[in-house]
Amino acid sequence: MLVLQRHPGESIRIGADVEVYILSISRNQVKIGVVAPPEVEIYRSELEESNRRAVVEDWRNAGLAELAQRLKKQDPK
Amino acid sequence: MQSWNHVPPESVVTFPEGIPGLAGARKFVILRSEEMEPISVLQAIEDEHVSLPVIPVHAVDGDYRIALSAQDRKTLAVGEGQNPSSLVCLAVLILPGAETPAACNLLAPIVINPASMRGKQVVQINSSYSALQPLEAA
Repeated sequence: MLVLQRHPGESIRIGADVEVYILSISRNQVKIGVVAPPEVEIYRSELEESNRRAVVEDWRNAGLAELAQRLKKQDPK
Repeated sequence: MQSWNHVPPESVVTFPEGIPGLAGARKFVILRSEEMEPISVLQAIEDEHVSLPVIPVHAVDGDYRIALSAQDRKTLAVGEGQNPSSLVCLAVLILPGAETPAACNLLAPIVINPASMRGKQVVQINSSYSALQPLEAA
């Protein structure tokens, strides 16, 4: 992994089209800004983990019908 | 074991950009059955072990509002003048664990355009929707 030190207000470029700005730093959070072409998808990395966690290997035996029944019972929507 | 080799092409949903975290899976079918309603399953055609349970966002939040960028519309091939309500919005379902209730991801719904049979997971990056919205009382 490439490691760089930057100050708030500074930025780095990734390729010709993507620029990442360090906007501000608080105690344990960094606010960053990304300038990129619209076709570059930007999302928090947790999304990948969340999707992988949602995958079921055998949907027929995953209790989906039972869950659906419980949701119907609790939710008159 | 069911084979997905003979799925009618018109029932295949293509995700041109894939789904984050699910490696190369791009072609899916939606599996429904009466017993699981309103839950359905997004099943990868190429890999029978990749099944993603989903639930319509409006079954979870009747007021759910989705924002699509110009790029999202392009990927989904949304037609000029196509009614946005014709798009199908599904939240990925995270099944209950030993100590966690069933939840769903309202922050990054899967949007399918039935007119083009294209899909995309559309991150609502500046919204306050939860990526882990509990569906049952803990």
